[in-house]
Amino acid sequence: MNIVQEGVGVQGDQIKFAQYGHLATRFLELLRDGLHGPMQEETQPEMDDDHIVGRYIYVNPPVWGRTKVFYEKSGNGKEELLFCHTAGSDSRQYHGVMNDPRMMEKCTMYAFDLPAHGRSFPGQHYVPGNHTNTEDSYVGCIKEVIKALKLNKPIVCGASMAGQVCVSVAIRAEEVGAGGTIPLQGCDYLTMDRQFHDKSPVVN
Amino acid sequence: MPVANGANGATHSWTSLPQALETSVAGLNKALNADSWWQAFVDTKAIIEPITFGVQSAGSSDAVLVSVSPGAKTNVSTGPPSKADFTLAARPEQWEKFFAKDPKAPYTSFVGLQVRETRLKKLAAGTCLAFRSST
Repeated sequence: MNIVQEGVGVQGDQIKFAQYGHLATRFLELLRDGLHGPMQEETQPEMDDDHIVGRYIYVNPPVWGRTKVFYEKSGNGKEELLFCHTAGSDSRQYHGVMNDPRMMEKCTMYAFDLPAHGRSFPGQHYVPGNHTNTEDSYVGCIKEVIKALKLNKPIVCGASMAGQVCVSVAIRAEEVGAGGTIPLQGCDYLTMDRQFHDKSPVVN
Repeated sequence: MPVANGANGATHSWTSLPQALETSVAGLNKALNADSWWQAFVDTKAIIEPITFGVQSAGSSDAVLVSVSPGAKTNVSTGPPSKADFTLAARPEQWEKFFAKDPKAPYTSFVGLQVRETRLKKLAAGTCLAFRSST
C-alpha cells in the first residue's frame, strides 16, 4: 500500500521497496532506538491458563463461497461482541482482550478468521493467486458468522481494514444483524491504490 | 520538489535527517551488525546484488542511507537521495513525530504516518464514527 500525499511515501524504485521493505522497517526502528533506546511497549501479564475456546463452522459468504471458518469464543457476559481482524491477519490479534477478566465478565466475545486467513480454509470459489476482498464479501461473511453462531445483534468491532468494514456494517446493520459497531481507524473514504505485489513474480 | 519547511516558513529542524538523526547515525552501523533481526534478514544467499535505500525529508537534498551487499555486509552513510534505489520520504514535522521518544499512534509506523493525514482530511468532512442501534 502506498498512499498518495505530496512528497510523502516511497520515492524511487517501487519494486526494490517491495523486495526490501522488511529491511526498511527494521532500519527505521533501529534509527529510532539510536536516539532514545528501545521503545517501551505495552506488555501483558504472563498467564498459565488461557480462556479462549476455538472451533469451526460452515458459512457461505458472497465472493468466497462455502467455507469452513474458524472462530474463537471467551467470556459469558450479557453483551455479545464480534471481533474482526486486520488485513492479512487472524483473530489471535484479540487474545489479549478476550482473556481480560473484566471483559469476560461483561461480554461474550467472538472472533473469527476470514476465509483463507489464519486457521480458516479457502472458500469454495477460491482461485490460487487470485485473492481478493470486497465490501460485499467481508460484510457478507460477518453476516454469515452472526447467523451461524445465532448471535443476538452483537457489537461488531474491528481496526484498520476491519474498521472500514465496521462503517459498512453500521450502514447495513439490519441486513447484517448487528446491534452496533466499534470502527477503529475507519473512515468513509481512502485514497489508497490497490497494489499488486502479491502477484509479482519478482517480489514473491 | 520544494523543500518542506515549517509552518512559519523557517527551515524545520527535521529538514535534514542526517543532521536531526546525527547521534543515532553515528552508532547505526554497529547497531545493525549487532541486531539479530537485521542479521537474519541480510545474512542470506538470496541477496544477490547490492541494494541501497534511505530515509529523507520531502524535497531535502540529503538522506540517511544504508547499503547491503551479498555476504551480509552493511554500510551506513549519508548523502543525496539519488544514491538510493528507493527512499522513504515524509515531511519534517512528520519525521519529528515518528522519531519522538514516545511516538503516538499512528506515528509508530511508516504506513501509519502516511495514513494519518488522508484520514484527518476526510473525517473533517463529517463521518459517522460509531453507531449503535436501539435494541
